[in-house]
Amino acid sequence: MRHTPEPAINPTAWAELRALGGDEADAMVAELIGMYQEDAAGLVATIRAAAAAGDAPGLADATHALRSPSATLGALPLAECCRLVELAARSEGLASAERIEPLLTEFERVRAALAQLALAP
Amino acid sequence: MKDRLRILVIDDDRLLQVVLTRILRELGADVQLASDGQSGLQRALEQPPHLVICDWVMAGMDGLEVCRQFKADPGLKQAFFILLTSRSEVDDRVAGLDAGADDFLSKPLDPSELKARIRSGLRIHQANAQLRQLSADLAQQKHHLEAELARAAGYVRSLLPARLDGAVGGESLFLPSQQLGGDCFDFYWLDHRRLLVYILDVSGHGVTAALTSISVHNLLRSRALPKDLLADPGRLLTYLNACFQMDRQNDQYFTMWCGIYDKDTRELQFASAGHPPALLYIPGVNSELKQLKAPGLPIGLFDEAVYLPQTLILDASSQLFLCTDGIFEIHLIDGRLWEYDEFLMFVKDLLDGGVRAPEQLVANVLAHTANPRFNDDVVLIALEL
Repeated sequence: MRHTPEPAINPTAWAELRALGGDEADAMVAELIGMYQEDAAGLVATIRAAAAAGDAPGLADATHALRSPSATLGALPLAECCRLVELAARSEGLASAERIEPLLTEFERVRAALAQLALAP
Repeated sequence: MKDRLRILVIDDDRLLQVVLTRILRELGADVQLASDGQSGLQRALEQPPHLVICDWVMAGMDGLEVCRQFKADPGLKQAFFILLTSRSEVDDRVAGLDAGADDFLSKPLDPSELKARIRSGLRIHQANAQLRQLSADLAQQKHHLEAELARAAGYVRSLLPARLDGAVGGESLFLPSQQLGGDCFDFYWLDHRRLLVYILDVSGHGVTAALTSISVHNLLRSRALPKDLLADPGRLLTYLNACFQMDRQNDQYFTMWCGIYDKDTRELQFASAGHPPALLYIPGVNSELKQLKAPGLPIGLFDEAVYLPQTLILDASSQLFLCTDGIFEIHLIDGRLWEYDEFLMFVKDLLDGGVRAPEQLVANVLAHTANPRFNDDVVLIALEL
């Protein structure tokens, strides 16, 4: 069975978000993407640092902070990665570079997808 | 709701703030934004929102605590409070409900579900606001009504006679079971020799009963009636029966006992319209408590009722007691109704023991029957003739 990877940005969620913007959908989506790029870069840096330092509470807070805006933009697989890392960090105190690998990979996919969407929404 | 709908969003995700603001403005709401619980509470205190959407997990004060603080504030607790939860927190909804949350929404938010929840929240908020208004109105009306009744009761009391000193001593006690009762009485000198005394008990309670008793009272006090009519108990009751027929008096009837006492001849003439007999106490070694009965139906029941007066010459230092049935129609501690004969024996023992004052007689009745208070109006008049 051929495995099709789930899109980084969920098409249904993205369509709903654009529908919300109505006539100003392009402007609104551009504003949201701009905000996200601004905030997410900092949060991912914090996540890397916390994981490297074995700082589980710091890792839990930063993944929680990344999760909500990711979900808002329709980046549902990334939001799920955030949830899993946050859960492990908070309930089991797990924080390591290894644990955040899937999250970082997914974040790169989201960044690429958003760049595409920003160019051609 | 008169002012524009105000919704407060408390969430540290500024993307979500942008998205929520858009959705909520579509609903015609003014949107207030806060990024943490503390500043959210601050915004709310400045201008209380109708509805709050608050994230659960936030740095600093979490959504549960924000919710608790809203619900503990008298000015804010009316706001409909929606907590935003993530999937992992679904099991914690019990804690959210305990904190006072009114509804929950799961992230990521579905715009149409969000709008539907908000509409339903606003319906509940408005219904609650109407109920609060209604309850405030009712409380105010009740307050007005009680004040009116208290004024009316004050008026009734002001009509009742003061104690009588001199050739005949008179004392009375009036205990309406509610603020207004249908019992009424009077005693006063018609001229330098003759004292008129009457007591009446209108069926029912409250304002309508009180109105009837007041109108009888005012009629008899108005001096509009000729003195020879007032001085003739049988004719007086016949006259009242013609004036106060039930179909013209809010379906009310009343019982009445009335008497005329001539202090020079010591003659007491009396008549009764279905009222419990007055009690005449003759002190001495062979003391007696006589029931002064006279035939006659309650006033207002039949046009053709006949009232036959009775006449009696009183011994020196007799005492006359008039009461309404409220004083003896009471239940004993075993639930049994007090027998009238038992009441008479009890009163006679008290009188033999020197108890005379209406207050003391009534207090003894309550103590004897182990009742904290009377269920019906109680009037007791004591005359020293």
